[in-house]
Amino acid sequence: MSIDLSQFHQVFFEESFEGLDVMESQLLDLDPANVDAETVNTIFRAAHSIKGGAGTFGFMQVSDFTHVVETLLDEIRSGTRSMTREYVDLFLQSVDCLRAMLSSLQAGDEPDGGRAASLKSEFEAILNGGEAASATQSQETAPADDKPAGWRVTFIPTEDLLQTGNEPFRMFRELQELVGDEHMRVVADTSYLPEFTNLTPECCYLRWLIEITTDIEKSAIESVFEWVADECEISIEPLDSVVADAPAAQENNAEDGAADADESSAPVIPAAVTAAVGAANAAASASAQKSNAQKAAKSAEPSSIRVSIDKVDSLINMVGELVITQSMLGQLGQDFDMSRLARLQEGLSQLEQNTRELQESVMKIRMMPISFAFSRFPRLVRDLGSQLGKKVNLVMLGESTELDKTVMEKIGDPLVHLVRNSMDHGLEKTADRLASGKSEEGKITLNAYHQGGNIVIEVSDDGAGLNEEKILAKARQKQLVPDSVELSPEEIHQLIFMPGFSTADVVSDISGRGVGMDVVRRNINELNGTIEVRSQRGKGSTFIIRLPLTLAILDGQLVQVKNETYIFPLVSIVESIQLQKRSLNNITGTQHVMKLRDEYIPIIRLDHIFGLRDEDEEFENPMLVVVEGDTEKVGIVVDDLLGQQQVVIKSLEQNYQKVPGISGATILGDGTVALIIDISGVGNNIESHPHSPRPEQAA
Amino acid sequence: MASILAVDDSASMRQMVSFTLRGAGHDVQEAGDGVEALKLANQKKFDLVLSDVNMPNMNGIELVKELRQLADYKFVPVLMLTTESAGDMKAQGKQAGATGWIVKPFNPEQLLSTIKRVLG
Amino acid sequence: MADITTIECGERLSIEGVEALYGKMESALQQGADICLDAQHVQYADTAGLQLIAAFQQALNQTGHSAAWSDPSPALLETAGYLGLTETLHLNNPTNTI
Repeated sequence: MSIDLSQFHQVFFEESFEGLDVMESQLLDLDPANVDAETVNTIFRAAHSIKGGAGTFGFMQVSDFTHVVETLLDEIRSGTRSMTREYVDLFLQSVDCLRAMLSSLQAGDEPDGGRAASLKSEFEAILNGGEAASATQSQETAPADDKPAGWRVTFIPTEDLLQTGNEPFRMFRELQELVGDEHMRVVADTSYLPEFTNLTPECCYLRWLIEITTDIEKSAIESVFEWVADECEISIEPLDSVVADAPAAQENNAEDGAADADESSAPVIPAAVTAAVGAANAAASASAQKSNAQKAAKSAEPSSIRVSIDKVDSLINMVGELVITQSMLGQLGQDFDMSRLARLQEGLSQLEQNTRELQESVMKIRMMPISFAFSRFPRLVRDLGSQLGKKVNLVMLGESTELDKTVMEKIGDPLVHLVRNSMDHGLEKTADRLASGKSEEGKITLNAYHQGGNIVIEVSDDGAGLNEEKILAKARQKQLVPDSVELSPEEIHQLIFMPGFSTADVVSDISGRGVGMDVVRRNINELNGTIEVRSQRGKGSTFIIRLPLTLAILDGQLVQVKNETYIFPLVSIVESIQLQKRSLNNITGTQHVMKLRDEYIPIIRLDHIFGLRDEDEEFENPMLVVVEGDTEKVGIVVDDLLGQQQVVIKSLEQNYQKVPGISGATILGDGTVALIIDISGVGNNIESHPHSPRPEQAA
Repeated sequence: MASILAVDDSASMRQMVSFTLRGAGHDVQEAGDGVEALKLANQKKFDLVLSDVNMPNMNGIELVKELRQLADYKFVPVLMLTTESAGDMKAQGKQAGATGWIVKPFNPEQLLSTIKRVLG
Repeated sequence: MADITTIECGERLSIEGVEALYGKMESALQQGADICLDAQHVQYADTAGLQLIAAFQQALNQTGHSAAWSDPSPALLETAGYLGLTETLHLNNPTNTI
């Protein structure tokens, strides 16, 4: 039967134009810094439908082009990549391009492929299309099917095969149609049927052996079983060892192995099958590794991590040592007396060391070189430079510095923002540079290095530096700083991170449009990191990001409030002060602010927030921990400071539910659970309390 | 012949599928998303469900899961209309209880030969 | 001649109906009679249906009884053929009736 598909073309065009309208409006509404998953999904779905329809109705130019659009959207959708303004622009251009192509096709004309081709190569550059092409090639050059005299197919279904609507007799019927009745023999194996009383009649207990006596392609047999191949055991082996065509050398070896195995023993699934499969897999994974290695040089893979053999080996070593320690302790425990106490202590300290090393090694597995995050910048700087008419030299240092994969994924956007900011606001125009005696070419430096359990990333430029007067004036104008307060240059620099602060006189296309430094800072704070800026007029600015090496472990300060232990992230603590009981009394009631040296800082009583103490209950020796959250310093009153230690963060959301003011929990050495305070969350909490701040002398 | 439910948010795909199937003598009803499909499935027992994966409101994977909860659809074949680029959709569909898949783009002949695997 | 119990296979000897048929077979096994499998109306048979009959025949043999076919339909014979169950189910002589 032949169906004229052109009758569906009109409907396809109409729905495709509708889909393009949806894509366009969603893209225009989209804020790259704050992407809603459902929006991306909707855009993806529209592209996906256009691609599918175009393929079905034979508009290959459209489907080929939409394929790259869809691929990038899919990566964004799955979280492999984050949406950037650059991508949004590219998608919008693609929408225009597709609209033009479809209009031409609808009018019966040949679409102009030039624009699509150039856009496609832009997508491919992003997706590292070069590697993709070579991967397809290697697939095509995979060894062709052998053509032996026939095949022996062993089919061992899973018990629930029939429950998903798959039906062996139809598979065998399809096979029979392919090879012909006289060339196929089916033998059912009923020996796995359970006793009648134990039978679940909806389960499949039968197994089959099928002999095919024609030279059909192996892939044709495989395609009959394709829906069930993953769950069921299916082996397809040549019926005899005579191979019609000259096979690849590797396959030849496998065949030899097959002959040997057949002589020694003849099980239902001869070892040869395993050998052949093994050889094929080895070949496939070898080539896959090769192309992966090329790919890994540039982009991160979605859900898997490539781990170097060194790291795995060291892990295995650690486990080996752990096993030795464990067996030593086990022996010691079997007949223990006090004379062996020293040995026990020795063993325990060894265990502690093993555990620590193992923890470090496991952490290392998640570590990736920061070059993964840096790799996008050469192009970004080049494109932006030409857009802004600035000559820029990008220097990247410390590219092999490693950090946690999750941290890496989340630091990408803030870095992009900082680099854009430096290029747009930091570096002067070429004429200004020359006028101030600088070289024509501006310099942006990305530098990453480790510093005491943290990773430090610096983004610096040799531009004009921050204009303190302008910033301060703006801050005063926006009433972020009272007119009476004088600030040091360093304090003025930090003002740019305040919410709603933007000094650019004209909101430019590059770094403006609503996303400010406050968002960058918030993103970094969410990673338990900090950002600061150092700047010198006329010399340039440096943004310094400090991040924990991993999100799984936190350097914590244990504090005591009444009888509870809480943990503050060490990174957010500015200082801790012993409070006079009197000064605390002064800040009860409506008093939520106290003066600390020259600053007024809001005060938070954790004991009140968490309902541990009544308003009128007395504090013995209150301590004030000054922390810096989202935007400003906050003082938190606690009973005592306990130790500092690394804690493993357990998600409260996964195990219970999100609790305001709490970012997670951990289990302490004595087995008790301690909650980790979300500094900015607790800070926001007090802001929502209506109060009239009245300054009060204290400390 | 068989009664078939064709589910796709793209009207052109839906029309192509149902035109092909009707031409082969089958009785076809169409649905534009999973919610609509589920409604139809509750009214009548189809012999086969063909469903797109990416759809608004309720996608194909969710639809299979829902269908398998219905006594009438415990064993009814459900095929996902998927694309090669959709990666693990095949596995996800299978896990949700789908019988198999047809890879887009497909032509009418491929569609008819594939559904023989689940009908008759 | 011993008692003969007839089991009616229905029009669809398929997975939707195997649970009910299994129940009938269990009680037939307890009765300890010879069985006649009436399969003349079977318009559709599938793996689950034929597997159940194979298991039933095995169980019946163990109790010293036997099952005989009554006029198995072409649809049943065809499916059994595809599945390589013709001999197992003693269908190789279709006239094999009681």
